[in-house]
Amino acid sequence: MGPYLYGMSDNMDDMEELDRTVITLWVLLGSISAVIATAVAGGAAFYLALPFVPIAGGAFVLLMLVNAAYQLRRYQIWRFSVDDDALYLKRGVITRRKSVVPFSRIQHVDTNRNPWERLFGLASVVVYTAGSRGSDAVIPGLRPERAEELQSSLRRQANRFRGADTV
Amino acid sequence: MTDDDTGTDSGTGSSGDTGSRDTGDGPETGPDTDAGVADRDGDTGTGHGDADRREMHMLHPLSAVIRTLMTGTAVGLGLAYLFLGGNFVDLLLIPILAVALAGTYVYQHMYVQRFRYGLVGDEVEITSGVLSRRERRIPLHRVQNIDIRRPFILSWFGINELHIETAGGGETEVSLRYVSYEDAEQFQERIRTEKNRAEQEDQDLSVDAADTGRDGPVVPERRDETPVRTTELSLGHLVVYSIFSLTRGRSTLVMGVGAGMLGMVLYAPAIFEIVPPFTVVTGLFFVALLWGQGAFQRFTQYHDTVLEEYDDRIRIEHGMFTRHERTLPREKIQSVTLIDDPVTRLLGLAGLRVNTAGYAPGEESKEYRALPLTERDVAVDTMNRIMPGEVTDWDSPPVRARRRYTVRFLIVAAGLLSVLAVVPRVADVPVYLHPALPPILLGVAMAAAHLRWKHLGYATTDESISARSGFWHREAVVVVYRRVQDVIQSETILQRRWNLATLTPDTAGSYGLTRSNPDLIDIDRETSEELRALVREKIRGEQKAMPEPVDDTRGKRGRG
Repeated sequence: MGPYLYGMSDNMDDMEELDRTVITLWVLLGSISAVIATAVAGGAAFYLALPFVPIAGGAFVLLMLVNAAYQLRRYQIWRFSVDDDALYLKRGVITRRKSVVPFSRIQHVDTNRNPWERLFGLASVVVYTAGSRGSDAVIPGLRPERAEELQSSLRRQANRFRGADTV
Repeated sequence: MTDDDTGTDSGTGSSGDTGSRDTGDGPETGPDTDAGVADRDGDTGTGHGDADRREMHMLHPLSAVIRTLMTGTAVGLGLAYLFLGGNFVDLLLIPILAVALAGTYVYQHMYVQRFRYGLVGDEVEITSGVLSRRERRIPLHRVQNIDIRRPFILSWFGINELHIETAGGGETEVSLRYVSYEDAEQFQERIRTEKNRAEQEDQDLSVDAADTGRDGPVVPERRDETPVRTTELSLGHLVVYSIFSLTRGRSTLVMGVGAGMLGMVLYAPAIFEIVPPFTVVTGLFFVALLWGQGAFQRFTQYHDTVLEEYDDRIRIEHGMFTRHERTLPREKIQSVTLIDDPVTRLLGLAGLRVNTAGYAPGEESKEYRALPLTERDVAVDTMNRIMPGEVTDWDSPPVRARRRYTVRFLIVAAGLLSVLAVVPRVADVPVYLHPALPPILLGVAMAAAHLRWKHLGYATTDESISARSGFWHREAVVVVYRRVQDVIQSETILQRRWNLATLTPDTAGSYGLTRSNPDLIDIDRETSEELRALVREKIRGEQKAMPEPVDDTRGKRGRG
């Protein structure tokens, strides 16, 4: 089925990466869960009269390492590309997901900046389709200028098909 | 209290269009306040689309009385409860109830008097409200369908409900209570023809209308046309359907209790020495009652189901007490599902569900069916007519997927065995582990894995992509490429080990209600990539054929 593949970028090198800053943000957000898990482990150790410091400390170090590795991998895997017919996303460490969102199916495009993202000077783009899993298409970790640019280019592309009845 | 009757804005996107706003002017200012007569002939051949041509209707004259009785009953019961409990009884109750009813009636009367609905230009307009005025406009292109619901008893007097559905959200956008049958039918027909006309105009405006990949141009006006085909549900099929297709909760209960009883008889007959037999009998009776009640519900809900296929739409009517009627424009159908289970497969029968974007009225259970149950051939033929792309051969996922299921089920069996082995040690309950149990469980796990694998399937045609899954409740979903909204390929960490993937062509089905997407489960990863590319290529071809938008004033139209 080779011929179907023309015009599609599935090569990691051809696809756009997220901004590096997002790794720090993700690690930070992930470490919140690590701290909570450490507290649970520490509490359990205390309750069971086990050595508190080695268990809590060990759990914390281990979880932080896992978190850092996971977030780094997440960043490495995350790719997206705006092709001539569709937006293509590739992500996921545990479950890998590849989504194709054809321009003719885009309902609207938002840019979001939550407080965390603002703190790190980042933004995300949310692409809506009428699909039951439409809100799946979120591109995080973008520079605000890039997010704006992406939003307007996706809007322009989607506008080409605004007369079409796709639902 | 009843201002909410027109529903809330739950639609996607352009909710600004339908938002409420205070207009200040009552309906009195309109030129035709009396039950709209402006243009009823439904003929759309001339002079349409003028926004100034208002065509507003009123509700059924008896609406206020019925609405009062509906709320009045609740008020009365509430008061009765309060006062009977407080020993005030008769004396105080009657005047209070009378005042409450009178007050309700005055309010409802004003509400109904001030309520107007109709078509203004290419928008459905509803003005309502006694204290605060509310004016809502729903662009025609956002209207998914208009349903007439005939409440039991009331419908004998020609009193019906009209419901306007829009895409997105989980609830009816607008409910008109109550409307005479003729008015309801006329309005439904009017909306339908206006919608068709508007879409037709859009097509005419565009350059290569014929190549857009849509259904051919829709003939706008044929009021009394006869359906191209009518399929009726036979009584025998209805009986089979009612008995065997219980809702998921009920069937789980029935089967759970049955399996529990069997297990007790086989493994712990001693338990019947502790539990008195009448408890068992009562339990069985309770289960039979639940089953019977479920079957009765299904029977009355789908009694006398008629499916009519027209060139541009399908119409479904069903129900014994409350008649439900749905008209679905063909272009609003997202996907079609063929449903069967071991019993119906054995009998050569199958059911058909039509999935639309938005909420399906009368959907008490999550299984609204166009054809509850019929001969398999009939169901398949109907499916092929509604959703083109006839599937002749189903491809199976690779055999290694079956190994995956075998492993999965063996883990479950091992878990069960270890529980049975551990229980007598922890609790003082004697459990007799028959030596034949492990091999039996092994056999069951392997058989289950095989059955799961055997009933998985996928297929593509020039026009559509389909997937099938399930043994106890098997669903085969077909969707045409141009109804696919986006495509998601996912590979869990375990799937990656087996080089498998799940491909989901996502459609605009009802949110969270029923599965309307064909999920191609555990197919070969390479195949998944190819199929993903195929769907993308199909949509790409469709995009190329789509005309550039014409810059007309009605550019806001487009998405439904």
